[in-house]
Parts: sequence; structure tokens; C-alpha cells
Amino acid sequence: MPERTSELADLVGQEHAATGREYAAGFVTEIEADTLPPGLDESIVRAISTKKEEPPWMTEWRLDAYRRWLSMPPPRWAHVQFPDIDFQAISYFSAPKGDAPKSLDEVDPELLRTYEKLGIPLHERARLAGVEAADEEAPQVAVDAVFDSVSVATTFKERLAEAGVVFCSMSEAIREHPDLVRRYLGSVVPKPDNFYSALNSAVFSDGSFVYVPKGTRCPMELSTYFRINAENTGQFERTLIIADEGAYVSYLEGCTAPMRDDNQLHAAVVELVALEDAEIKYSTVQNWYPGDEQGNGGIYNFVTKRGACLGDRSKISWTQVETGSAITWKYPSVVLRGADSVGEFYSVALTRNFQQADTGTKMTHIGPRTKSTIVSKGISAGSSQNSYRGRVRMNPGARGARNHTQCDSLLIGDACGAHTFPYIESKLPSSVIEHEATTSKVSDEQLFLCQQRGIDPEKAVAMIVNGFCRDVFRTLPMEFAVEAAKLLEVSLEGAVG
Amino acid sequence: MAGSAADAAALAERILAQGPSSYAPWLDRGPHLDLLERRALPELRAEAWRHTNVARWYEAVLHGTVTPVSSHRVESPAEVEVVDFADPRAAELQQLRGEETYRLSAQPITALNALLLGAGAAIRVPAGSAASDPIRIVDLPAAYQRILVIIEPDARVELIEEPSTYTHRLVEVVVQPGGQLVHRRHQAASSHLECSLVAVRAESGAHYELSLLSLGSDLRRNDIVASLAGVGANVTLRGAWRLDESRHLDNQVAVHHRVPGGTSRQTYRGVAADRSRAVLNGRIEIAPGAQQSDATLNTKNLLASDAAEVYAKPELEIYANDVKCSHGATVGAIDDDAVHYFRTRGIDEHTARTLFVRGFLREAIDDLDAAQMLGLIQ
Repeated sequence: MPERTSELADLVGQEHAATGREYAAGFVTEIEADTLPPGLDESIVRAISTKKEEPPWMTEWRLDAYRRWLSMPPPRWAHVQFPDIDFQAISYFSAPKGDAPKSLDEVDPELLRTYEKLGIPLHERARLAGVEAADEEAPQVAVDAVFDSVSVATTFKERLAEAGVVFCSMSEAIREHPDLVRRYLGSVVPKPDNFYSALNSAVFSDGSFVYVPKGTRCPMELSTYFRINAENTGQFERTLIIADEGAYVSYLEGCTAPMRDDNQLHAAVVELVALEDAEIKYSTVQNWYPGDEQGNGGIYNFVTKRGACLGDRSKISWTQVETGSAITWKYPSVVLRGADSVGEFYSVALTRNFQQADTGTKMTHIGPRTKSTIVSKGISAGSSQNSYRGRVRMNPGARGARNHTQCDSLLIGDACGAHTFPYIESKLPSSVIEHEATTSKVSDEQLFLCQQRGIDPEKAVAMIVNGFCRDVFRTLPMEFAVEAAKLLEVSLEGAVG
Repeated sequence: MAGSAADAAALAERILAQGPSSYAPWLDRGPHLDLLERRALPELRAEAWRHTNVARWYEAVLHGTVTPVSSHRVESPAEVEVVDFADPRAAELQQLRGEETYRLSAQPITALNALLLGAGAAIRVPAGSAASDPIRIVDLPAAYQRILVIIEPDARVELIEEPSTYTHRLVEVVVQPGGQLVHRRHQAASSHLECSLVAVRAESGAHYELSLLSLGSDLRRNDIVASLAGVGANVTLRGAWRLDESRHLDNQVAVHHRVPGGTSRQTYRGVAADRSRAVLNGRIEIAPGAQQSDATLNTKNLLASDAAEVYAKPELEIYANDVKCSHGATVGAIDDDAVHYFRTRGIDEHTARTLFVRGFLREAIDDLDAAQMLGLIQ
């Protein structure tokens, strides 16, 4: 029976992929996988730890998180609705069979093809062989590819090593850089921070680890590409990025999954640490499978992302373009501890059909003269619900701190919802918080004006939405901005009636 | 705070044991008793009570901290019908308020109001009348009070709630088609712990205007729920408050646009000094199909001391696309540049700050005399 459903899912996936519209990343890769049976108890946590050949301290760390998770209730305050998740029905580990590849040449060609198909070339040969000047100038991107529970490849490791930058899978970091991992893992998002972070801490499988040493500007963009392939699995990746004093790194993240009728859980934790004068720029294009037109299937994207500006004058900037997932529950946040540190959050969230998004940020001002900027653009279409939820808090001590928040919603169609829940908390007279929110629809005048000039309604709406999102797109690295604009356009197809 | 969750349960138990009050026996207290039976009173740190310690208020309920005045004083112009809430006539008027108004006021702690109710007034303003004098609620002789106001079609009146003490006051208002009500609430500084709920239903073409002036209290919580239930209804809410010492004011406002073509405007200005705490939660909700709704909320807050706290949460919940909604919120300090500007013109610092605060609050005050008399501005 399970085989038949998966065949069916494949067929459906192929059909949709063939039409070129809808969700192009919805295919399944046929690959032999090593998957743990569904269910969660201490033995599963130990099994994951053993599979990853982790030291005892790591196993204990996981078990501690698991025991805390047991007594925690799932959060219910978000403006989303879904049936209770059966955590015993999920398989917590799935990895392509065989020993971990030591170099790119050893990576299963089927996997390489998968990433090729998704537009993420993992091979370095073009770069390695190419000596043309044009090629040298083209921006290079190092990729860590995570397939279900494991990292299958990390590119450009040597180039990065020359600069002293560590970019590897979390599993490798636990083995090779235990001191850094022990010091910072869980320091920004503590294990019992929330229900899903506790779960992640217990069962996280892989993810990326980045360390940029003192005074180093990372020579290329780093990126991770997450792919859920196996059925009935959850993906629990863990990312930790540390920018030492004066360092700079820009990190990109992308994600897709096959189309299935069941909901799959993705509960990641991302921690960023910026020391004195360091800057981290973290960009996400999230395109998990959003479910079909009737709202069946899709990914539950329940993610905890937080950065700590520990050092003076440090800066953390989050940019996210969220078009996928059946449900998004995600609040990339910044704790502004260092004096004069800066936090930024730029977000575009598009929901359609029956998608639900409850996303925003938390800016916690602790250090003096800290600054934060929030720009959130929500677009709702179809029967979707799209919420911005954010908190700006000025703690005593954040003298002269400032925040500005702008959140705008655009409604397309009369069956969708757009909501704004900002929490503004100040205990400090010398700080300033400003919050503005507007809600509007694509106006008939705008549409008329475009159509007068021979632009068809669908293109016109895409243009208008693009303009609406410009403040966010311009903060993305160029290739990503182009990608994001295209993704929006595809997502909006058929949304205009 | 251990055992504070038990406070809600202890309170429910105590009230169930002593039985409901005998005042206004016509009032159906069944659902309220049921609510207590189900132990549905909010507990400490419930989301809706994030910034107000509900357990402290329960303490006040348990120990009956309010000594009510003995007089029942409601002044009203001749054309307005006013009866004691215990009067059977009040039951007839209550029928007029409609099911929806009941739903609006059906918040858990309102159950305590119904069960402990001791005084109240039911007011009817006849169709087409335009009273020249306002209705004044001066005193009601109980800690738990209820005021029911029915504005009949095309009637116009002004209602003033003068400063008084209570533990809970419920004000239910229905403005029927084309009616107009200007509702003034004046709250003096006090050392009491009090909660109130104003539930308003504005029908088609009706205008409801609230003007809140408050100085805070030891614990003061104002819930305001306004429903635009008829096409073209108009709701304007204004609030100005200035808190000092360790006073507390928690305003929870919700404006529901239920049908098309409603307009709502909300303007709040708050100043928090010393160790005070000011809260505003302002929600705008646009129901599915409530197209051409136009709603705005604007709140500005001044923090005048290091130990004061301000919490603002303007919310939008929108289920219709052809709408205009916006909100804006700011929290900051007295503008030093502005004070400096005053100083360069020979005005001393204290006066400069006073003038600045006055100008700031002025944006949400439409009756300066009342604000001055209350001591909100100098």
C-alpha cells in the first residue's frame, strides 16, 4: 500500500512538473535510503547520535533536550490551524545509503542530478577548470547540500580553508571543531526555548556549520540547500554560524520537497553569533512544497532562527522570501547585546490556496544605541491566511536605542486574510520605537493603468507585487533577488481571477 | 506567585458557595454560573492578561475592598428614560440590546459582574430626540455595576461617566440606525483595583464616539469592544492618559467591522511617568465580506521616567480585500529639541515639559475643560 501511494505521488509530481507551472521542485528522487523506523524515544535519540558517530557529551546533550521536550506543550498562540501532529508517526532519520562520500567524486550521481534539476550545481569543475577572466569575476557560491537528514556534499571547502573559513556539515563540525560547537551550540537558542527547538535539539541530524575567523571577509557567498525527499520523515537541521571579531559572511539558504498528500514536518534551528564588529547576512528563499489547491499535503515549517549580536558594533541581517510550506511558523530574531549593534529583518511572505503563514521577528534591545529595522511585506491570495507577528522590546540599558518597523499587507481576492500582531514593549524613555502597518489590495487603477499599456492582468499583478516587495528584494544578493522575483511570479500564476 | 492559579478556582468556589446576588432577579445568571462551574475564569498570565495581574484583582473581589457609596445618582434630561437596573422595565430594555451585544460582553470576568451585581441603570433615549443636556452617571451604590444604554433611531445624546469607584462596571450600548452617542469616561487617579467593559453595537448609519480620559489606578483595566454591525456605521475612539507613581492602566480595545462600509478611527496618547505602567492593545478586525471598511488606529506614547513601562500592541485581523486599514504606534521620550526650543524663549524647563505633555495629550482630547478638571493636563 505505501508503495502504491508513493507511485501515485510520483505520477502526480511528474504531471505537475511537466506543466511547468505550480511546483516545479515536486519530484521524488529514487534512491536507496537508510531510514530509522517511525517513532521517538530515548533509543531513537541514541541511534541518531550513534549513526553520526558523536562523542558522549553530544549524546547526553540530545537526551537532555529530549527529556525537556517531553514535558513541553506545543505552542498554540500562532494564527494557524492544523490537526495535532503525531510525533510517533514520524521517522526522525533518513539518509541516502552507503558511506558518507569523502569528496564530490564519490557523491551518488543520482543525487548530483537531483540538485542539477533543482538548479543547484554541486560540481566545481567549471570553476576549477575555467580560467577565463569572466569566470573569475562571476560571483562564486559554496554550497552545502542537505538531503533528508544528512549533508551530502559541501563544495569549495579548500578555497574556503585557505581563507581560514570553516564551512562544513554540523556532523563534521562536532567531530572536527568540538570546542566551538560546545561553546556556541544552544547558546542563542537554548534547548528548552520552545517545543520545536527542544525537539530539534534532541533529534537534529545535519545542517551547516560556519566559522569565519577574526578580521576575515568570507571570500564567497555560502549557501545551504535543503531537500526533503523521503516519505514520512521529518527534517530537523541545525545551523550554527559564528562570525569572529571583524568578520563578514553572507549565507544563503534554499529549500524544496516533493509533492505529497501527507504533511511533513520541518523543524530547524538556526543560530547566528556575531562578535565585535562582525556582520552576518542570512538570506532564505523558502519554497517547501505548499500543498495542493485544496490544501492537502505540504510542509509544516516550524523553525526557530535567532541571532545574537554579542559584540559591540556587530550586525545581523535576516532576509527571507517565503513562498512555500503549508504552514510557516517562523520568527528570525536578533538579540542586540553589544553596544551600537544592528539588527535587520526583511521579509516577503506570499501565501495562496490554503497556505497559512505566521511569521515575523523579535528584536530584543539590550545594549546602548542598538538599532533595528523591520520591513515585512505580506501577500495573501486564494483562501490563505498570512500573519505578521513581531516583538520589539527595549530593555533597561538600551539607552538611545531605536527601532523602525514597517509592515504592509496586500490582499488578492476576497477569501484570504491578512493579519498583523506587533508587540511593542518599552521600559526605557531614551529609546524610540516606531511601528507602521497598512493593508491594501491591488488597486483597480493600477491594474487599469498597466492594461492600458498592453500588459495582461497576470503580468500586471506580478509587476505590482514586485514593486510592493522591492524594499526587501534589494537587500538580497543579486542572483537570489532575480530568483525570488521569478518565484513570486510563478506563485502568483492563477491567483488573479 | 505559587498557587495563583488556584485564585481563580478559589474565587469561583467561593462565589458558587455563596450564590448569586439577589439584585435584579430577572437577570438570567445561568450561563454565568455555568462559566464558574467550568472554572473558565482567566488565570494568571493568560494572554489577554499579560500585563495586568488578574490574581490581584481576584484578591480585591474576594476581600471586597470597595466601600460603595450609598446614593444612586444618575442625572438625565427629561426626554430620556432612566430606570433602576432592578426594575422589570430594565428587563424589557435588555431585550432590545440584541443577541450580539450580549456576545460582545460575554467575557469570563463579566460573569462575576452578573453574579455579584448590586446596582445599575437602564437608559433609553427615544427615537428622534436630541437632548441638550448630557446624561451623567455620578454614583451607583455597589461595587459591581451595570449600565445599559439604548439609543433609538436618529436620537442624539451625550453620556458622561464621572469618576467613581467600583470593582467591575459593565456598560452595554446599542446605537440604533442613525443614532448618535458621545460617550465620555472620566477616570480619576485612585488606589482601587477595578475592571470595566464597554460593549458597543453600532447599527447602520449610527455614530458612536468614545472619549476616555484616565489617570490610572492601583490596577485599572478597561476593555472596550465596539462592533460596526450596520452598513455605514461610524466609530471614533479617543483616549488620553497620564500615569504617575506606580499606577497602572491596561486598555484592551477591539473594533469589529462586521458589515460593509464601516468607518472607525482610533487615537490614543499616553504618558507614563515614575514607576507606572501603561498598556494599549488595539485590535481591528474586518470580517469576511465587510468590504469598503476604513479603519485606522494611531497610538503615541511618552515614557517620562526610567522605571516606567509602556506596552503597545496594535493588531490587524483582516478577512476582506477591498479595505483600507492602517495602524501606527510609537514609543519615545519627551523631545529634548522641543524643550530646548522652549528654553531659548525664556520658558523654564518644568513649564516647557508641562506644555510639551499638554500638547502631546491634546491630540486625543476634545474636551480640554474636563481634562483640566480631572488633572490630566495642567
